[in-house]
Amino acid sequence: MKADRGMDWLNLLVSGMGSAYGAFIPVYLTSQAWTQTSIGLVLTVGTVVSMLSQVPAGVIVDAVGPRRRTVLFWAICAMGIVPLVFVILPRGLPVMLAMILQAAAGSLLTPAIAAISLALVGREALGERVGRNGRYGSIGAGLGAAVMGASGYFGSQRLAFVVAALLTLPALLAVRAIGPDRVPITQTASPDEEQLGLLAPFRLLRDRRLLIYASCVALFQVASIAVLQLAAVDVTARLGARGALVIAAFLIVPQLVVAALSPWIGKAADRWGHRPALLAGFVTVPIRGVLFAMVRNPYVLVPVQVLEGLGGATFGVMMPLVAADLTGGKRHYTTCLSLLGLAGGVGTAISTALAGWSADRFGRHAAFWVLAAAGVAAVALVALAMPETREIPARRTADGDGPPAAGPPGSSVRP
Amino acid sequence: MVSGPGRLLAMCAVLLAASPLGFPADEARAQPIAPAVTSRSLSGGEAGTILGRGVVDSAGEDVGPLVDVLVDKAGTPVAGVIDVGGFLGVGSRRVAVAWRLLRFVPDNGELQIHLDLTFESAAAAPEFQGPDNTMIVIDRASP
Repeated sequence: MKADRGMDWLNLLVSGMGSAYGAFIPVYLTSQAWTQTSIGLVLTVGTVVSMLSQVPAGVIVDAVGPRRRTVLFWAICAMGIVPLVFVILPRGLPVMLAMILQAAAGSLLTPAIAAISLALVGREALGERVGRNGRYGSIGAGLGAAVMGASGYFGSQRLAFVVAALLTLPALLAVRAIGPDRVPITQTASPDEEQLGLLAPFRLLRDRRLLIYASCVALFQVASIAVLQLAAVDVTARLGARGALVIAAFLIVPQLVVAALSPWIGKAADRWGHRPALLAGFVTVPIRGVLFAMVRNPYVLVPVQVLEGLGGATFGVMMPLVAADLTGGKRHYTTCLSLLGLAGGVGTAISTALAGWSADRFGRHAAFWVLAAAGVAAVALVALAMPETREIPARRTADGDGPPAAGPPGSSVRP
Repeated sequence: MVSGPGRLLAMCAVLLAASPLGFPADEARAQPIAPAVTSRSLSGGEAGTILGRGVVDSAGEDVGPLVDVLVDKAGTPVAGVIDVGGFLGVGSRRVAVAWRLLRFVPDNGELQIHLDLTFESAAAAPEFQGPDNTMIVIDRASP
């Protein structure tokens, strides 16, 4: 109970730390007389380091086993130092190093939290747990953005950075509250697996299901990410000063949906199967793309953002679940997860580039159609190629309220 | 193309030549030509920093920060680049406005930047695509 609450708080605080100042960095550095070129450079370095460190971070978290809490501890400390550097030393080298630190620590946070979640509840209850992670992460992001907005409003941009740094302390307390593993992740492996070590990512890539799912993840991001950017710029051009309010609604509606529905989606996925849940989530992407392509009235598009929330919540919940399926919830869990994260990162980069290119060449309107087409491809890939990955019996069977003959004798008897 | 170790040596030589240690005579020669430096103090009302400062439109609405300045080859400002609109960094548009549309008004020791356009017309203007593309600068039509 205490551990579950600790996990909720951890997700809320870590997510809040990042979103309290992340989008603020360009504005802040501009106000510190940084040129656009150097701002672009540090942001690019951050993105590149984040991409490059994903898979090594996943391998590290797998390798340290039960000491993943220590990794998480230091990663949070690093995340706390970063905003302080922005406040105290907003100059070239310190900011560059801070961006690198932030990217690397951020890459460690995701797999560490995922592995701790798995070790906390085990595979059978993982759906609900990652759903709660999604809920509190979304609430944290919303509160972080509120801090950022307030500090902008009161004219003290440094406030957001200081608040983000202060959140380190409760986040570390939350790590403490989680306590030791309850369902240890199996460390035993077959002899040939034992020698894998750093080669684990390459071995995992032999699994066809992982390659298919990674492609699905990348396509999902290609089709989703740039929609909001394109639409928001359009809203600014159409509505001027009133646009800010509509863009705020575009951002808040999906956050609310994620916060409200993530735990339910996690439970539903474990009950009805992971493939149906994936399909249901992916279908929202092309529908949203088409609606954004066809509807010109920005106000009408605000409720359409419910679809982004549904798709995003499912996407966020399913990634750790499918990774647990693919690795049997054993050794290379976070390595697998980080490969999927990398695929998503590549998709994000492609999405922005593709949308920018097609908007330049064919107009903004056509860019929405291009993204919607990528969404159709993503759905088709899930529907035609992605197998059901869940192998353990459904949770209700284990609880004893499903068909009794599903598990081996004694599996429905709980200690 | 010089081979591996040769290239390394060549690079060292270049680095040595470029570093002040390489040719101490250079520095000595440069000394007498250096111009004398004077300083004067300006009050906040006379001059101020402008990058990152918010721009206000003709109705007093906050348009967005001034993020860059375009100058011609004489160094005279031609246009200011403003990050117009958006919410928490999402949905803002870069627009370059003619320098004569910007007025710098001293206010409590700081310069306030006023834009002689409405937010709406700035927001709807063609986007500034950066120095690598055709640069579109917004100006008011002459009467």
